[in-house]
Amino acid sequence: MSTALQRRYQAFVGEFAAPLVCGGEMRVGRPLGERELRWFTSGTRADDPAIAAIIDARDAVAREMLVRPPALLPLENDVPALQLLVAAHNLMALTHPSLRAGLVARRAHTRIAAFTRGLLAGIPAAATPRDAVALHTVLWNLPRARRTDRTVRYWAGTRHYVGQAPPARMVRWPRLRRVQVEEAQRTWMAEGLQADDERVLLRDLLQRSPVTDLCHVRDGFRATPALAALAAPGLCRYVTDRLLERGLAGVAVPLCAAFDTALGEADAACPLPVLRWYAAFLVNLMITVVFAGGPPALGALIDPARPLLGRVALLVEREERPELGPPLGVRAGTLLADRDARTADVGRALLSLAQPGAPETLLGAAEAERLRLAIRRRFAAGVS
Amino acid sequence: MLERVALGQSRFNVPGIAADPRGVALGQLAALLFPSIDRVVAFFRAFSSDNPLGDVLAALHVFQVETPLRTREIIVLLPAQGSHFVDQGSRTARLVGGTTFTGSGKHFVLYRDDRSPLGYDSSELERAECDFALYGRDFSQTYRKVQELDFGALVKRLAPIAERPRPREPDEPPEPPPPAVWLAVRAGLAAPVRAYVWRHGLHASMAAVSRVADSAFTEARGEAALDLMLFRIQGASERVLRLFASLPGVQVFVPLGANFGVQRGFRHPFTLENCASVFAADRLHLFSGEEKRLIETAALPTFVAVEQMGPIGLDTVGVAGAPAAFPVPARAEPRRIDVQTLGSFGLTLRLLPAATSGVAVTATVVPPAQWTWLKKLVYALPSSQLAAFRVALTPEAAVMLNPQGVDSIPLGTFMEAVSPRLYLPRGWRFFPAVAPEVLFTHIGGREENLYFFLPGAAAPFFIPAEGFVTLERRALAALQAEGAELSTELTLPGPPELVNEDVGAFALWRHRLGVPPAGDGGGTTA
Repeated sequence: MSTALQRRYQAFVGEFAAPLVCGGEMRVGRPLGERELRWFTSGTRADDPAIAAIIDARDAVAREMLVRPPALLPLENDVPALQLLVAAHNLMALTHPSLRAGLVARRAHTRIAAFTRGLLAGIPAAATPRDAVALHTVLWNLPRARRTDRTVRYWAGTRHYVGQAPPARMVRWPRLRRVQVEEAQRTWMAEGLQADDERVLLRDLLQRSPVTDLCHVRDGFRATPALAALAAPGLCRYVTDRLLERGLAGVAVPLCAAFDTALGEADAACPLPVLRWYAAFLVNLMITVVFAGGPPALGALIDPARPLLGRVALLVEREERPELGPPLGVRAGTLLADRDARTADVGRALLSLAQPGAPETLLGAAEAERLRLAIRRRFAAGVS
Repeated sequence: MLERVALGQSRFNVPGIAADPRGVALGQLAALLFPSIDRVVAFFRAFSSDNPLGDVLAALHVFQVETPLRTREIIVLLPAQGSHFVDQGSRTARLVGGTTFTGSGKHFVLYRDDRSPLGYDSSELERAECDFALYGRDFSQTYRKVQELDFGALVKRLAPIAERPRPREPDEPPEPPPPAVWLAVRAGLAAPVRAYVWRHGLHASMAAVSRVADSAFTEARGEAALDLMLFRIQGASERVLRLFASLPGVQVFVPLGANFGVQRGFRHPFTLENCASVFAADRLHLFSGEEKRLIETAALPTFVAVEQMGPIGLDTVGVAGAPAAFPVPARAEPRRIDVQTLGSFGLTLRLLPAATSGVAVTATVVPPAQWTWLKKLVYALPSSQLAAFRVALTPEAAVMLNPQGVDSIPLGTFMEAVSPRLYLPRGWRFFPAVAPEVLFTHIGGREENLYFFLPGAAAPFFIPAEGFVTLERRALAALQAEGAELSTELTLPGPPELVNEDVGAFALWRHRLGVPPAGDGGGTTA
């Protein structure tokens, strides 16, 4: 028993976990269950040499994230990271063509999805920036995972091979059998998931790692309480950098949708401190955009960034609380505009956003009023 | 037995009591009753901090007394210089567990308190034979003197206590060092300390003192001889004071008065400035915190400037072949001598050790034999020092300049600048003592060169000033930089390539997943 489990552990670490973290050919087979998970996280299993490569890669990613990254536990002792990897493996196994087919495929699919959902629910949420870094270093490469699908056309028909090489017999005698092989590379996260429950599982998987979740913000992204772990400025800079790499056009819509959803949610789903942090993050993102590109870039980005700019304008506009002094946008904008030439652009941009009527110009009167009411209702004490 | 004094009362039963201008019943003396000597020390510790005791010390008496039942207590008699003064003493005494009485002869009645703001009078007087009779609120007690305790001896017997560091604000400047200090140096250390003080140009003077013998045994062993050298140093920096304080055998004292002081880092329990009259004017009193006792000299030290105590090397001065005297003819006509025929005396310029040294060491000449050590030192130097040093490398020596001092490189021959362009070895002087400007002209000096005189060398050598560059430029060996290829990609690993394994037709046959672990089974992530 233990020998078989040890072999599975070595195969899992060497052929799945190490390639997922470090890059390379990542092999996905039968889903992993409770027995395997218990063996992986127990102290009785023998360590695999691939662990060293994973440790190095995680350290490199952590150094990329923070100037002074926290010390990470080795993977073999990092139980939440191991659980996250097992969940990722099972989610990929759900998309395995051999496991989709067959008479018992639907029931097995349901069982695997339920097990993985339970496994993800059992992983403790990241509570500190250290936890967030540790979890991101195992999942950071998942959005880049790709799969090569091949289509073999021959004289008698067509065969599709998803993430697999066609058998030798299928490509034998190519001229006689008129064999044509077409290859297509697909991003697994974007094109590999077919069923709804697979997409829900992917959302749950990414939500376990808030840095990964926010770096690869997409449709369906939600501001969860786990985002509170990103309160460290270094992590915010990292996430902002990743988002700007992707371009504001690609991230503005899901970021805004998550903000609108959080405004309408109860405090249990998205606590007010998290919402405040998320709002501050959006304002900072816009400031960074102006810093990075200056006003011309802001002008070029104005169309895709319009919803985001509109919400930032709502967040920094004049508040109905004169005892708090001038609104945030005027205060920060004046401060930055008067500071030096480098910050003057940001200051002027903030001042223009803080002008009365700016949200209506950017969002339209009805949308701006709806959001303004939602912000006032949710932010009872005002944004500070 | 006690009666409260009424306003305007002029007659009192207790002799020697009268009403002062405020109406308070007050005698000529205030008697403070303490149960033990430690309370007396505590009282004077608190009282001397705010009140100068110079005026009252002459009339201050401390008696050990005992009651008819043989219990012993302490009575301190203070001259009552007005009710305000006694009020302050009374408050302090109450703080440390004492009681205040007032009177003039042997009868003392309780001093005023909150219950009776104008004081008390006693209706009955003790007639028993006694030295003191104290009348309290609930008792009257007679005392007999056992002995008188000398307040001066009490001051001198108390050992200094270590000063607790005061919490400081982050931006608060450090306390300046005292303007003058005394160093008590063991006789064996006197010469090195004198040399150090002289070499660093400190304004100092020194004296040999003998301590008053603590006991007959000390004198019998001959330890009361000249076993202590006293240095008086003015304007020493904090660094130098810390250096002396850390040196075994050397104690640093801060003068608190003309003839008494306390070791630096310690303080006497009493405020000595307010007790100056207890110290004899013809002795020096130093309270040592390390030795926990008083060092008392037999006489006031006679200080001599350190410069007067240095080596002078007169035995090496002299001009070879100089006539002892000019023979004067009995009768001679004045003879005209052409000035042009006598160019100079032709004296050889000599470098001789000098007694004094006044300027800082700003250059050092390091011979090649010490370059290995120099390289190791350069590794340890901070960047500020690397930038401050300027160096010229010659085949014979590495000449290093630093206007702030070259102490951080203790190698080579230390040089001091006697003029902006003339450098002499530390502790050496020209003989004959010509002015540096004259010498500079004599050797044909140029403004763009720096001239160095080394002992034993036949002639000075010079280095162009432009030949000196900062040490950080000369420190590194040649290093060829290699061009790096610019890359916009991260140095992180590449993306993973998902490959679905061949799991067969019955991959999930008898495959049980089980139940996932509970939520709290995960532990922490790092």
